[in-house]
Amino acid sequence: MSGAPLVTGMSPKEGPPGTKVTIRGERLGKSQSDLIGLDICGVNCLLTSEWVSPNKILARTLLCKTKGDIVVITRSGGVGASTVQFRGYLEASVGPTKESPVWVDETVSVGPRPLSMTAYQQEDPLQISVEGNDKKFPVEELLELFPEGSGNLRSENFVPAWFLLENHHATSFDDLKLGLNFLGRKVGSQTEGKLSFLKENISSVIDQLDALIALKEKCDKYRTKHGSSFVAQIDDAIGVSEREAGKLFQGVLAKKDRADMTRNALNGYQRFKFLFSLPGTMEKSIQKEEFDQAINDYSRAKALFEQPETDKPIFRKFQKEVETRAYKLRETLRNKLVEKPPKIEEQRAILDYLMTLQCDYDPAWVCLACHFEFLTNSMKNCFQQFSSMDSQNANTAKTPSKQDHQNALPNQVVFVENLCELFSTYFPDFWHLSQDYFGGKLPVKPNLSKQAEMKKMMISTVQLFGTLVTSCLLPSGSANTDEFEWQEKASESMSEWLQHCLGFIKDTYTDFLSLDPPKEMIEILRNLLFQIRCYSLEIMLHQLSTEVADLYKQETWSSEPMGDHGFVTPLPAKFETVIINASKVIKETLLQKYNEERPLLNNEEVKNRMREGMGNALSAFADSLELLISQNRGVSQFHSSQKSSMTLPLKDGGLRSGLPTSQTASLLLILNNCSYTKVVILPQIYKALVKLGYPDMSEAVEKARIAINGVENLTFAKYTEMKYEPVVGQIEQSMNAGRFDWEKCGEPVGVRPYITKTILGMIEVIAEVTAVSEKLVTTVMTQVIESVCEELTRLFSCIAKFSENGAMQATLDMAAFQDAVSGFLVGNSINLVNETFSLIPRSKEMLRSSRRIQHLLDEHRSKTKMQYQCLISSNTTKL
Amino acid sequence: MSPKTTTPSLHKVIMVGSGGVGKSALTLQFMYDEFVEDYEPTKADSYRKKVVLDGEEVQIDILDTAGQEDYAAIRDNYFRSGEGFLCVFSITESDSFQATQEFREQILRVKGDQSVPFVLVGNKSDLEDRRKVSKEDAENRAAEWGVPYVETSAKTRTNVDKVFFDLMREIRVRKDVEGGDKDAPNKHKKRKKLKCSIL
Ligand SMILES: Nc1nc2c(ncn2[C@@H]2O[C@H](COP(=O)(O)OP(=O)(O)OP(=O)(O)O)[C@@H](O)[C@H]2O)c(=O)[nH]1
Ligand SMILES: [Mg+2]
Repeated sequence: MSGAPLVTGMSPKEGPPGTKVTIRGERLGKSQSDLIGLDICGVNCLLTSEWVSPNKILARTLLCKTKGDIVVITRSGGVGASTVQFRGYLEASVGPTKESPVWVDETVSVGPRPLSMTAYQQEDPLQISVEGNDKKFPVEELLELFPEGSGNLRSENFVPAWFLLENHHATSFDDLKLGLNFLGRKVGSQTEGKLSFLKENISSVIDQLDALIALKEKCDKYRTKHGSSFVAQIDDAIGVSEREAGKLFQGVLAKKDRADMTRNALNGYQRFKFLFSLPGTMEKSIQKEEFDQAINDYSRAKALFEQPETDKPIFRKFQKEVETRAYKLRETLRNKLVEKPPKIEEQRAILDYLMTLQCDYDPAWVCLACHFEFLTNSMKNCFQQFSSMDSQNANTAKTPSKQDHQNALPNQVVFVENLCELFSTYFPDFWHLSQDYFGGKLPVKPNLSKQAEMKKMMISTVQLFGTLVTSCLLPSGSANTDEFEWQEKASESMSEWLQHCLGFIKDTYTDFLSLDPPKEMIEILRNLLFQIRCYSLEIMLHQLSTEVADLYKQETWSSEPMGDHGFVTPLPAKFETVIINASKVIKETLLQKYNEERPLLNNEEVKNRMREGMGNALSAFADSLELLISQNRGVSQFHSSQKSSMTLPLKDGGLRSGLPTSQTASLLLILNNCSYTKVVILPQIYKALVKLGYPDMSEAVEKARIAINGVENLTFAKYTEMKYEPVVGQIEQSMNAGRFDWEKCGEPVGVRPYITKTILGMIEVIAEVTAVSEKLVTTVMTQVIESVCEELTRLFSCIAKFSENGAMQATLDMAAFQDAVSGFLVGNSINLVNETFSLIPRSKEMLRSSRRIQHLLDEHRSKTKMQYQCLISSNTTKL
Repeated sequence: MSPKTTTPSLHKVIMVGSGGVGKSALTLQFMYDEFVEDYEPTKADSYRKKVVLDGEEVQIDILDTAGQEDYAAIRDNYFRSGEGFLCVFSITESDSFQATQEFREQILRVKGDQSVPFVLVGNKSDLEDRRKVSKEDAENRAAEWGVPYVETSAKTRTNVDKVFFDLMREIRVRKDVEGGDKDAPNKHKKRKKLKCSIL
């Protein structure tokens, strides 16, 4: 019988009718329907049973009054056995006014018989006093001793021993014997006295007989009247009473259930006390911003609300209350989340909170959108604030802490500084948050489909930064939108601040790089930097040009001999220094020092612009020199009165520094400077630039060389013009001095002064030129002598007629002249001298034959030996 | 009760101890290998099943009594029928340990026997972190009484079988010692009872 149910546990093992019991054991059925029988102490309790598992059944006992087995019957296992028992008992105190969960059998406990029974019980059948018999014999043991018996005198299974043990276990044997005698007498009197009993009560017996007859008559009458439905009516009555009884039973059960419920409710209240005060505490926590507390409470409440016990209207009501608080909390948190400026740490905490609160939107996304909006708007506002401000107001609007150092700054610089600060402060937060969001590091589950949108937001932020900076710093038109336009650009003063701004932007860029953003975004900032650097390159080169062009202001005219180049002023060297220093600065700030930036010089266009700019800067020196020439005119006029007092420089000394020299001398210095620049400075600059890593600058240098050549020619022309004019100009005058007439003059006595004066003038020129540059002597002198020859030819061709003496005089003069300048006579001047001789009649014969002329010539030579030497030596040293 | 000869010997064990210490939990774990989380105060539960004790098939009858004070009055009756006692306290509750003293006294008074089979059980040993009763204190008390002390956990089933089997062995030993006139246990009982009642 391994399949038969077996009950091995009973909880509790005893109780009055209606006790809830737990029956445990094995094979107690496979389901409620498999359970087809449950007897507890022989009473069928199947109706109240509740099958839980093959090991457990719950039930409520019915009217069990004895100790007995628990028999489980299942369809699958049949009739079961039990190793434990249940003892049912009636609570002695159940009476007509006492509620009982079960139907109380009045035949035992209520009605006339029990009443008589109690009376009877009081009256002991043995008539022995029970006084002093206070120590009761345990029912438990009686049950064990007489499992089938009972101590009830009226019970069918009455066991006298039970009765005696229960009531008289302390009574002495003699007393018991007396009691037995009494009982015997009583019984005897009852049996023998039947007749006497009738006799005694004859009247009442007859009364009873009458009553019975009357009753029979009534019954007969009733039957004739109502037919045989006598029983049927009783049947009905029984039905009615059964229903009423059922109702009563239900009512009683309901009352018990209600009592249970109340108890449960009280227990529940105790357990869930905290729930009822929750809305209030949550409200307080929210107000005090103790979100942790509020959320903990809420989660606890939520867990409680999920329990089945709390599925009651009262709890639902409180749950609603709590939910409204939670809603409010969510709203508060959401507002805090999008508070500006956003505080990242706080936001992370709030995100955590919101996730525990299970909000129905994506709080991280809201947060990111908030960052984006904030950053974009603040940058725009910053732009609007500074761009529309005129420079006077600007200072008042600045942050007070920075006021001192910003006072002098132009708006644009302050704007760029502020913008960079904004960007560097808030962009990283924005970036990190988004990274964490998509990296799943936030408590929020990321919505990966939003990645593209995020990227767009990021890029547009960076782009906005670029656009704003561009429109602020670069010349209008370079920004690709005209949405942002800087109102008044102080572009003049701006150029010096450009480096400053570039610094800010570079710092921002470096910060930005450290975030490791995608290439696309880096590219935007790189472009921006590139553009600004290009622009600043242009500006710097332009500045350099201006600076070079202004160099003339620094000319002091103090000169030093410089090898083959004769005397030069420090101006060319200054020029070199300026150029090289500037190139270094440009290199340092723009060409070098890039941090993953695009190198400027990789771009052909930039290279070209750079060459052009450098060319301009270099040729600006020519302009500067040219300006010196024209300025020189003014100087020379001013000093012309002192001209006579000027001392010419000695060959080994310098010009006295600080003293403006004669106009012609400075022209000569300019000439020297030009050639020195061409030959020495420009190649040096070229080399230095190559060394600095500049692209090939030969074009620029060439441009400068050409420009300087131009200046050189100009200077030279100017100089020679200045030199031969006084020499040539005086010839005619002194030739005609003293109304000299070539027709009527007497015999010549010596070389006429116009020639000697001319020669002296030429020597003066030689001296001056030699002092500055020996190299120039021949060039200058050739020019001067050619002009003199031209003038002489012109003058002689104007003489109408020579007398004999006149011709002789003229021949003498010309011969002396030719003699003196013979070293410088070349090409055209030789022709001119010959032409002049041919204008004098018979000059050739005279030169050859006239002893007088020879004599005078020798005389002249010895007289002017020194001057002559000057001319020769300067010429020969040159050659 | 009819086939007396085939019925294996029966050992009557009684669970005593304060309310909530885990008497029912131990019993149910031993009987049905289940652990009940909910606390439902017991009134008086009865369990009985066959087990194999050292190769011999025996029956164990467990009376799980109420720890709650409300039911203290009915204890006397139950104790009388017990052959061995598992006196349980919870190591997480000093009061329950304190109460074992009273339980011990009550048992000795009812049984009138100093060496009644008895095991002191410290339950809920899985809640080590909430321990309030030190092992030493418990062992000292057990030594003082001359009884074994075992720590159990109804939750993890640690030592659950051990306490029941150990106690049954003690009971068996006792019965063997008394077993002079084992032939008529009923008579023996009656006599004893009679003696009691007369006294
Ligand atoms: N963690 C843990 N909990 C236990 C252990 N034993 C019992 N419990 C828990 O303690 C509570 C009381 O256990 P019960 O077995 O009902 O206590 P009892 O001793 O029968 O109590 P009464 O019937 O009132 O005398 C229940 O919630 C059990 O789940 C145990 O060993 N470890
Ligand atoms: Mg219990």
